[in-house]
Amino acid sequence: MESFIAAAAILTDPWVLAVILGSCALGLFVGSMPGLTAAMAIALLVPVTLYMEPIPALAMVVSVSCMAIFAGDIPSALLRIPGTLASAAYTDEAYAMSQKGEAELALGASVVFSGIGGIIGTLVLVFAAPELARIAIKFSSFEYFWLVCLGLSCAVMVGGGAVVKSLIALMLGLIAGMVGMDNPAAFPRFAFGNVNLNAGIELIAAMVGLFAVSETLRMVTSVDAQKRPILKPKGRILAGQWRLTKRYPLQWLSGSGIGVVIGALPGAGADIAAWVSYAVAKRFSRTPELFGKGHPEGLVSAGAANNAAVSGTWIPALIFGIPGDAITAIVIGILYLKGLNPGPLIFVQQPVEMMSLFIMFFAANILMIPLGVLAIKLSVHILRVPRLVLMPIILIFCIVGAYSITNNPFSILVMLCFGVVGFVMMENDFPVAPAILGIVLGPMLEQNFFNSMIKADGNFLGFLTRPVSLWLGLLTMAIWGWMIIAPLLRSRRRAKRQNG
Amino acid sequence: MLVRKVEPTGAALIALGGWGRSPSHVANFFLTIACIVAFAFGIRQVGFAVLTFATVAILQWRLGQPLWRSLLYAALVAILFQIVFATLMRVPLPPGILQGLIY
Repeated sequence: MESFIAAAAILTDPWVLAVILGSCALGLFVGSMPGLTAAMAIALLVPVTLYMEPIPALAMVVSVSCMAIFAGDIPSALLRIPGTLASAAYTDEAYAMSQKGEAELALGASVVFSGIGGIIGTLVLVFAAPELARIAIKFSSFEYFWLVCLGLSCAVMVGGGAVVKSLIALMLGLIAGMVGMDNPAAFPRFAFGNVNLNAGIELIAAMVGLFAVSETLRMVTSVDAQKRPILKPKGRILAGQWRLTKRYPLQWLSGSGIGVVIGALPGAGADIAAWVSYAVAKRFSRTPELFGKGHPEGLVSAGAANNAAVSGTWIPALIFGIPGDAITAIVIGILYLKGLNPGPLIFVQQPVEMMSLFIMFFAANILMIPLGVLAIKLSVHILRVPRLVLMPIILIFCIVGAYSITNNPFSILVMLCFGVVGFVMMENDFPVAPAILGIVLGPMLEQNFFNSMIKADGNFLGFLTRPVSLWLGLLTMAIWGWMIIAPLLRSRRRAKRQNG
Repeated sequence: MLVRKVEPTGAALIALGGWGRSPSHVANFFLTIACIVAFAFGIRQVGFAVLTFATVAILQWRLGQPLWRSLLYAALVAILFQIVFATLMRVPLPPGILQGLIY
């Protein structure tokens, strides 16, 4: 209760409220602009958070991420271009509704069920995270080793795209994570005699490069897209939403549940959650033939799922330091910069900050409805802002972000290298999430491996002697087995079909 | 062999997109990279504000804005970043050749 009062006092400070409102506006703007992603917005905010107290910095990150994921639905419905990847699953559905003259219903459903999904996700975060942390306190390096392996494996399996591409992305991330002297032998690795690399790759500079610089490069190289007419929402945005809430209770409940669970899987964020919940809603629908033709059922489910996933991604990030998605990978960097080291003790050591985080999640998801409606009303003007005008500003933000972390121009070069790599990856449909997880989790994997080997006196069986460690190990190995066997089975089935 | 089994399409893993065939887009790509490299090697000597002005002006002009609008926009962006980051947030952005003028 004391932490709640302290957190509420901080969050009601006029400066913090101004930060929250400003961040909400930024999140809504970024989400509404096709091509600008929530992860990019968070990466660009890093230099701003550097000079803020921890709670306003966290408030900023939470507000931007929640709002941006919802706002991605606005261009989906009005332009048939998803604002963020998280809206891609139901873009056709939302646009079909708009074409039928139901743009208000589609956008209203987006904002209402995003809010509901976000609140359900936050409830799970509030109740599950401290309980999980209590269990995680008992974990040793053996369990952490398998947990990291499991996280990396999940990132490859569910990270989107082909498994081989995910694996290549993961390897790139792991190699980047190996650079520097931060290894058990304290020997400079892959530093090539460059003293700037002895401390390793600067995580924030790499993230800014992978998300923001790659996006600016894509903007300047994108062949001018055909301009689509913007459909205008004319009526009342929230009209008919109560009817949808009563008509599809299972859809928004299951969507929120799927969102939290998938969000909590490392590497699988809001976009995967939306795709899965849309597919589940269609599979169990009484009218699956209406999907894709302007039917709100899938939109209700997937809209709730992507915002529930935003809270879900914070569960492994806070307790284990394992990012649930690209946004939380950057968040982990910010948490370290603010002295809020993720781990099972974070709820004991930083109770006020954690309580503020929970309150912020609730506030952002509640604020989403009035501010979202306002953003929808202004959407026609927002969507007219040319992206090329924003591009140089984004680029300068990136440079300030990379430079201000270390005050070393070398970070700008690191950012550039990762920007080019990210651009090539995006152009060739390589998922970026496994690469980020590789950078973040690579050093953690190595450290826990060596600690475990020392404890087990060099005996590999030590990894399987503790009960939790054994189960985590078996689960990880089952995933590895499945990743090898499933495509082989698929190709054999395909060959059989072709032959007969 | 395993990779072929897993990825049986035979398509190249990495290829240049459609932009690679357009000289204008290739020029935009390398110009953007050149701007970032200029920051990396010149931020301390030339200064953040001057490089910001030059980068924004060049990129805007290159991307089709009229010269006068590019210059005006670049000046606004440079001043805004200087005020927000260097003055208000006290980020130590190097003044470079403007040392003494803006600090």
